[in-house]
Amino acid sequence: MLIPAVALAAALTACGDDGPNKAEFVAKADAACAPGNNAISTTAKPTNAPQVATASGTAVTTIDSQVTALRALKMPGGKDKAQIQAIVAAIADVSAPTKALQDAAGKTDDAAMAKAALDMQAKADAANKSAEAYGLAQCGTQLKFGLGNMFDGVKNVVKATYVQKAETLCREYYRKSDALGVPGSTPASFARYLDSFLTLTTKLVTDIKAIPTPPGDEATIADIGTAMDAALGKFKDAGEALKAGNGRLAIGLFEEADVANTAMNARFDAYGLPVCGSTGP
Amino acid sequence: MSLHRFGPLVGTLALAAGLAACGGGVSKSSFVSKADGACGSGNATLGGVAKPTNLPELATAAGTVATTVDTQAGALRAIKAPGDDKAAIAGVIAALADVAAPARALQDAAGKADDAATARAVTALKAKVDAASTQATTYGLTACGAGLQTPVNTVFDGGKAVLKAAYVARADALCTAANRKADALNQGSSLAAYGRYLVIYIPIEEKLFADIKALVTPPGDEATVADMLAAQDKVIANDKDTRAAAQKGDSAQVDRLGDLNNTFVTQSNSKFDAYGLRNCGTLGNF
Repeated sequence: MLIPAVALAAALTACGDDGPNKAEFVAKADAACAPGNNAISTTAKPTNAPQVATASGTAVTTIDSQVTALRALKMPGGKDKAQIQAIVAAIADVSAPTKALQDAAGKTDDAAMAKAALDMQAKADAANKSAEAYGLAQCGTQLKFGLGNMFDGVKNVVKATYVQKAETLCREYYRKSDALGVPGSTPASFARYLDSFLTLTTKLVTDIKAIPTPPGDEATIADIGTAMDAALGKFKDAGEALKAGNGRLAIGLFEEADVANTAMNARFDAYGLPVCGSTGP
Repeated sequence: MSLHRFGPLVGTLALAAGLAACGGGVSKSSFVSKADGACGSGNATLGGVAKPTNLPELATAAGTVATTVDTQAGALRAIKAPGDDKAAIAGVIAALADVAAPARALQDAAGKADDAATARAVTALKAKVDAASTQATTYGLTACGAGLQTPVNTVFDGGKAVLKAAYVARADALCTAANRKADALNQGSSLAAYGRYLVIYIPIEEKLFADIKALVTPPGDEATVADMLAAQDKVIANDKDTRAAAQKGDSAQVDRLGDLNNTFVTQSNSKFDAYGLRNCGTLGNF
């Protein structure tokens, strides 16, 4: 009876020799990922595009190294193997948008930086979700938080540019609108003045909307865009009423335009754009 | 068959009869069924109450709530309660009966067009109905208590709308009158004249917003109204600083405060505009 038992044990060992168990794998994988995560998370938040390029370059190298290290580890067999391969693929997927961020930051391309940062965050979220579901505490999971710091940095960098560009556009707009002089006292001359004013304002709105949106601020910027459209729309309606000779309606619409203008200015002020907002002339 | 053999059965019957007496004769489910049945018709009456659009309608609606709740509480008291649950049921009935007092207070206040008392009563009514509903639902009742919430919310919403309309009308009238006074002032072209202008302008502004603060706040809008008036307080404080700077002849400080004023006024105006008070906001002078 002893011989068959030994044979059985040997056979079982042979069958089970398809890698470590889950707990062993998780321990080894997390140990392999921890130094890289630490390197990413302790990188200072970038405050300008060159710093973003450097930080994202470091992150790309780290992520690629983690993926190589994970692929080199022996994995548990069966269902676990497929799940781990998916996690490793998800972590590897973070590399491409992070590389795109590095390239965009190197070219100081705000639009591409914003897009890459959003992609990177989405991929890091996906990697975090799948890694967490498997029980990994470092691989995939901590990467998200480390990259979060960089995402915030990108947002600040792009926002600083957004604010600077928008305020410059608004100053230029005020300079040009001041040059229009004062509207005449007849409805016809006032309507001509309003046409010029509306042309300038329409261009300002279009130009501000064309500035790359800081990543993560999409809703706020969209809200500002809606407020600008509302104010501009009311001024246009008032102008049309004036041209149609409906002075009473025009006055009512100018009042509505003023109210819409206040709402717009409040949004500009809240986003740190006082020149476009309430302190503009 | 002998009596001797019926002995245990007789004993069991006697025990059962005794237990029935101790338990008050009804089960919880039977009580719940009877109670919810008794509350149903009153709830149906309240369900037919339309959202009040003025104070007389609000008074009538509140009167209907009071009468209905009194009837429901009376009906519940007449239903035999399970002995073990008597205290819990007494609590449910008391909470339901408590709804009647603020409902009557609301009827009375709305009947007298007393906005302050109306606001207090409508808020108290909602609180009492919420409490009655929670207590009744906790016991397992579905119609009693809980059935009051939707109709009373309708009354509350109506009361709020009526009081907000009154608030807006009064505040708007106050602002229109104050705007007219401010329009008549001359800012002048020198810093000294501007200082003298502010000496007259600021008391008009302060009185206006003190008067608005004295208006009855529509129930449920306490935070919005407080936020709006706090934004205006910043404008007033900045105006006072500007007056002081102008009186000292400090034009640089007046300019700095002017920029701040634009920001504060925009914040304040956007809040008044959003609350429906454009004459106190963008279209006003303050």
